[in-house]
Amino acid sequence: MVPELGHILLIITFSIAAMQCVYWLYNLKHATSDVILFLQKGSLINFLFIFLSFVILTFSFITSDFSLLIVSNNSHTLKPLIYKISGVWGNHEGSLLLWVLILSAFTFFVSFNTAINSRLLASIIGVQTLILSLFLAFILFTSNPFERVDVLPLDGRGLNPLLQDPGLALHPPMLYIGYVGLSVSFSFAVAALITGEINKDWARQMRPWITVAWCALTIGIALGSWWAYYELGWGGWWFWDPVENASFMPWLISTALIHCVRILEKKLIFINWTILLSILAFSFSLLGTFIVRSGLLTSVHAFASDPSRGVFILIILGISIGVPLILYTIKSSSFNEDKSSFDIVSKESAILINNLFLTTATLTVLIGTLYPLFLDAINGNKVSIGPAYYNATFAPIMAPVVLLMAIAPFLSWKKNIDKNFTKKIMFLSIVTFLGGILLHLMEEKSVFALMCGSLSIWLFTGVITDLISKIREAKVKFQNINQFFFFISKINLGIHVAHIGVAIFLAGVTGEQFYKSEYNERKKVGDIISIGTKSLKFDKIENIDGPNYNSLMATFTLYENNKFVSKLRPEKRFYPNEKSQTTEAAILSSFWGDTYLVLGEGDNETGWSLRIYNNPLVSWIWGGACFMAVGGILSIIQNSSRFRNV
Amino acid sequence: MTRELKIIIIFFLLFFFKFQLSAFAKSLNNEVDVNNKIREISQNVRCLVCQNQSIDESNSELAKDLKILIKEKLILGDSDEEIYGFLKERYGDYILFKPPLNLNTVILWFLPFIVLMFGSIMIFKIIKSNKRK
Repeated sequence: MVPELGHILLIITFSIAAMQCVYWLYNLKHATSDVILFLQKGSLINFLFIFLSFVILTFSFITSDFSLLIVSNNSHTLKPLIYKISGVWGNHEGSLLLWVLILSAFTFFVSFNTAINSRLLASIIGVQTLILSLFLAFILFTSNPFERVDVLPLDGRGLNPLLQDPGLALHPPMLYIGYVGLSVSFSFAVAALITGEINKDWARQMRPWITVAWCALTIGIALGSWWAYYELGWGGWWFWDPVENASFMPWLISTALIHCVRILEKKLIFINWTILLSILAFSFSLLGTFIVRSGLLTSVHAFASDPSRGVFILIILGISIGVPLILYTIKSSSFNEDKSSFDIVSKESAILINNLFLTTATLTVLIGTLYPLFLDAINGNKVSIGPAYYNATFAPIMAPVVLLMAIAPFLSWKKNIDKNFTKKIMFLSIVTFLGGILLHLMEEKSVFALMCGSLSIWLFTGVITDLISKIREAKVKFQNINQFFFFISKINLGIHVAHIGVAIFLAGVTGEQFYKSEYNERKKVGDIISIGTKSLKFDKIENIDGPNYNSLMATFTLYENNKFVSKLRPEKRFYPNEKSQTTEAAILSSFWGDTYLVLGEGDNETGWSLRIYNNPLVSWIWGGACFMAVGGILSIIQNSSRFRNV
Repeated sequence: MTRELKIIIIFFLLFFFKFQLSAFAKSLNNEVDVNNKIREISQNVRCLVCQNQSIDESNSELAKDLKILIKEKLILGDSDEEIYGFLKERYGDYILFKPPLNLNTVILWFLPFIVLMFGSIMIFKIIKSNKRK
């Protein structure tokens, strides 16, 4: 009975949402407070009902109600509680329900943002609700999570063991908050096209929403990459896999958007470009959602196996991308831009160049992701596009972005008034040059290692130089917390923290890509492996039972300079319910790098094959991502009106 | 552009040029170099058994065989190009993660840079037209 209630709630929500859309379109020209109130109440009810329906589905997973198709396909009684819950979004239907839950939450929150003028607000809620109803229709007609089975199975089939992991339990919700968060800026853009109203306030109201989405995307992508690093068992962290690219493209575009909307906030120029970017960012989110969910890219046939779903996806993509783009071509020339001028050396130009490179980089990833499909459709030839392609195209396109990132914050709006500009660049160059030489002396690697490392040093020095000069200029005394936030907002700390994050990330990439070392050994119990100053002693290997798996666990002792450091326990796990095997690497993380140990095939007679990696600075990759996200959060706080005018 | 900036740029170019030369001068002297070379090559070779993995990452039988094959060819003194060529002839373009440049992949390789070029021209025009008079 209970699951049917969830299903009915979804049907009711769909009807309400559809009604809201009709009402909104009918009152498009006159958005009175009544209309707004109706739309607000509607989005509150939508949010509550979808939330309830989601709770019901989660409840069915927790209680292992195998009469539901997706529970019996994705859960098992023996699974730990946290993975029963994460199993809710570990499948197509449930993840779509999570998607609409987040969408309804965003719609609800934005609908009470009364600082936005009423015509704009009505259209924003309208557009959000329209997307919501499309997705609810998709769920109800093709992917109902509450579908029952005919014959009750004895137990569920379980969740793919690779997904039974805390990192991956959190990864999809974060990513979805990012994807769906971009719908708000999309709605802002479409609402501006519909009403023809756009001003600096529009940009100011929109920016926090983009930033929230961007932070969530950053964390989501970082979690996914971290999971791949410790769970897949061969030490990589980014594979340019189509599914990863799908989440990376919205990130790149929204990064461009965050920068571009700042110009609009200062003065009304590049309106069209900002609107186009907002539409594109969400389009890439939609593409990302469907690429992952339809299996379009890993196998073309999965798409065709359920034609109704595929057609529906195309309809949704067509409406949500096509209609705004048509509106855009009709309306975009009607906006009045400020008549304003700026020098070649100014913040405006720097942001424009940043946008050019970021959008080109996105395009490169898009081409690399879709080209195999395209070529296969054209003449049946197959190509594989892997890291080598992106290293040759994406990396050189992004390098200028980092170069610019260090010096652009020195610049002011309109024209360069920093008298020390050339001096600062001189300083950066000298530090980078010395740093490069030091890097080269420490360990000689390829020229690319040197370039990548130097870029990181360049950016790091640039951000610190800028921060120091901003602090000197600020001259704020802070006695209470408000003044402290005023200080943060005055020196724009969010920008510095996010940019430092990029520098840290780049340092991590340099360490992992170029200074990594790998050892393949075959050893028996009792043997000692020595790697540089470190040595590993193979203590024992034994069988251990976990909650829903059997494990073959080896124990090693790691010594450095003959001093005990830690025990390392790599495992091979077998999950009998799912009939599959996973490798659990033993990783000893430290600030300067990881020791990564994987247990391979073997037996006690001939020895066990072992893979050992030394990954210098690898945790900086995710540390850098955390800094970026914190920078984003800081910039939301420092731009909230409360701290703007203390 | 000031004179200082020019000097800095020249310095940078010289600096990188020096390393460019030293990077090419390396040859395979010992076992470690050979192993590194095998890794480097096998990262660009797709495992045909597993999805989206290179033979460097894969544990399949095919991946093991291919790695042994690459090692043998390296010891015989084959160049990277010869090894890639051999694999391509045997298994098709699909096996290489680095797509070769041919008629099929012209768009793939050049479109990003063409877009970048056109974008640069556009932005240059925008900046010029917005320049204060």
